[in-house]
Amino acid sequence: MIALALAVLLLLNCAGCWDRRELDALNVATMIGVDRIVKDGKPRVLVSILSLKTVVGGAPSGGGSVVMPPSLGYVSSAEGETITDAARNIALRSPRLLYLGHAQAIVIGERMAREGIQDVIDYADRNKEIRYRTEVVTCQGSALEALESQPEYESTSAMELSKMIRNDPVRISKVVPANLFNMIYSLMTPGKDAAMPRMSLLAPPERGSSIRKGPASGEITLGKQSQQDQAGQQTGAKDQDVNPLLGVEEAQHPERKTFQVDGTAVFSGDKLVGWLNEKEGLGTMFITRQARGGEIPFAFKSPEPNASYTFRSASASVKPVISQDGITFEVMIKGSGQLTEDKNSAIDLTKESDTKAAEQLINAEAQRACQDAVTKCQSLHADIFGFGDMIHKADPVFWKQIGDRWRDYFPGVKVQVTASFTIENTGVTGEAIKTR
Amino acid sequence: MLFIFLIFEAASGILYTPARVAALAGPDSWFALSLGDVFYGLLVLLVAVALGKRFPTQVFTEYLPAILGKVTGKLLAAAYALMFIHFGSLLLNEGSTFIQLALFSLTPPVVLDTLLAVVAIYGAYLGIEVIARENGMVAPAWILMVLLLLALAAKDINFSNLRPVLENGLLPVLRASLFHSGWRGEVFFLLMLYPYLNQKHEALKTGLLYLGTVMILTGVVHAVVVGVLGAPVTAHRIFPFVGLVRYISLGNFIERLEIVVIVFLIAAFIVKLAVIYHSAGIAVASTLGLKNYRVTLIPIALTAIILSRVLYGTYLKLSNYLFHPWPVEALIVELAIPALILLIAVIRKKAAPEAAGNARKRVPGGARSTPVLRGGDRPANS
Repeated sequence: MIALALAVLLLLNCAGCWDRRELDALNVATMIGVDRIVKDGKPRVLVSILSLKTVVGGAPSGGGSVVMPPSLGYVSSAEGETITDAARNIALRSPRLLYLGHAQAIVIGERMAREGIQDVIDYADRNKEIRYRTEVVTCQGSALEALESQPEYESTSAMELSKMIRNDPVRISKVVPANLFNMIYSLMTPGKDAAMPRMSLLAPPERGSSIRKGPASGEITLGKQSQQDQAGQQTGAKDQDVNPLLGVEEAQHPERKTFQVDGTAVFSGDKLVGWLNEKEGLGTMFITRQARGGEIPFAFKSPEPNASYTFRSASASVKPVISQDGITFEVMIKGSGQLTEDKNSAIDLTKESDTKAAEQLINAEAQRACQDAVTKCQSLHADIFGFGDMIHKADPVFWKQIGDRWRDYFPGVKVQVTASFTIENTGVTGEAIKTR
Repeated sequence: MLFIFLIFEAASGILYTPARVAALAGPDSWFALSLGDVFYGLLVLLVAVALGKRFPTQVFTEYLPAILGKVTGKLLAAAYALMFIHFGSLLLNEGSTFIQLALFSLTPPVVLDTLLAVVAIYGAYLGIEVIARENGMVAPAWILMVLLLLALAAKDINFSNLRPVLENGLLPVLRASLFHSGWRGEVFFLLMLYPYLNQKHEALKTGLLYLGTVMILTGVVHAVVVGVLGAPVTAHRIFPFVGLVRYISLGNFIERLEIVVIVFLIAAFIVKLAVIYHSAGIAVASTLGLKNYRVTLIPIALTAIILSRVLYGTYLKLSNYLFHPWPVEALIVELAIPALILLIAVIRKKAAPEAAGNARKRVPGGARSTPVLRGGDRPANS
């Protein structure tokens, strides 16, 4: 009897009354943007949320084609005194509970990044919903604009952004990826500074881009008709922002933008201090062992780059050497790949000597990319490679003397890069096409 | 018995300690845990088994008066009974705090406390055999879960996070080890469980096996946690193990496994609580001379729930207690006093009259002869 009573009592609790959250009452965020703004002379935080448009209810009424909105997301933002305050203030305009568990990216506005990101990362870390693998990016300009930009290939820009970043190391290795955990780790570990991808806005140069035009023209007319047909049936709850009338909307907002990920933001401590370009990004990816595939153009017996090498794998070992003269890091990069471009058959691959010469040029280019990255970061006093951490781990006694002053020490550190890439093959053709 | 103690470690050891240990010992925390306090655990185990051998049919609080004399013995037994209740409330609070922080942030902690306590009390009411059998189910699954999660996290281990070795010398490691030994010393509950073992001669062997297993298990868990998260991040998280699991991602679809950990940890908490309430019940009953320990369970549970709220209402209070007085209290309660009692027993040549040299003969029916245990308890499988 007691057992039965207990069983019933326990069963009653299975519903989980207090922390019950229903899907239709959630505001599912896919991307979080954080900006620092000034309003009425006071510093404020602006949190923007790119949410999924959750479709609740029956199938769309009316015949004809159902036009997919260009993006499944919509942006809402609120400001407040702190990040949490601002995020909570979204409740002032949304009846739904903000759910951050599906956030795929956190976008930090440039101004916020320059003033310090410690509180953003701490907020995300403390929040038990946000995942460790959420991508973190800095955008040039404001995060709100970044969230409002349109995705080109995926249904939400969050998806597009995170996929771009995740695929980068395999395809081109030009942008240093960072997820929330990497950021926590970099901020907390002495002798390691943070770097994260840079997101920047872009008005697509292509005239036919759907970003400039909205959905394809046929759909627009159909959409217009169906919109008119349905006009009488529509209830007031319908969102007017995303509707098939994008042709009209484009006329009103000719400045629709998409985004790209085209560089790396470098932090010293928790403050943004500068950007790496794509080549410097490649060098950083080599040194930090993250590069897994990419392109190295080089000039073979010519003033201009006339050949291209695609590496398919790369590895690196870094060894700190501490001597009387100072600290030297010996970086050894190894990789293999194929020759993918050869203008005017400059390289005769049937000759061993030409292959060797080409490999040396490739190595020189890779070394230059690494040196560029190191020089840039040294000028910014930002050790994004974690060299200091390596010293800490290799020689803790020495680290105790210099650890506190590492950021001042770092610019004087020598970095010797040795690359050895091999040309394994030349793709599906041997020599390049010869024009005769 | 092996499993019972494993689950002890499982429930709160893995949850609350890595952060503090990492804060003290940094990257060396894994061997702080595997070496230092195992030695301590060994001492506790030896004392407990030696005492158990002298009084194979009685629990600790029953034979205290025989050793110390009636008044002192009863007083100490009462103190132990209170300690068990306090310990139960502490653990209850660890459990509900964990659930609240990790899962149900809106649910009032009293409700979580009550739910945990109700289940545990029901287990304690049914007797040690039921607890042991439940544990027989939970513990292997729990170990499997931990191994699985560690395997999933293995690809993210960065071995350089385990360096530098002994950056600040041996002292911080020893301190971390000492801090954690309170958890390892929980093997002293053997004092209260000894009469129920069905293979008493195996007690020492099983205890050693437990210490060995737990040494490897916690060592590996801490090494993986620090290897993946790094010492600074480990030290800064309240539940580093959950943090580790939060980082697991395999093929973009095996992720968010925190809930698995939470479910198994709740199961582990319940078993551990049941054992503690059972011990507390028996301690109270034997101190007061009651015939059946079961009547004491509900008052104990109520006291534990109230104490857990009054004493450790906030996480700050809980962690202040867990990280500061608890290791010292544990040292006294788990090792110092039992060792002293053993010493007195040896000097005064006290032992249960019927069990001086032939304890093995009374197995397995021995437990029935004590008055407290007439609740239908049978010796549990070890």
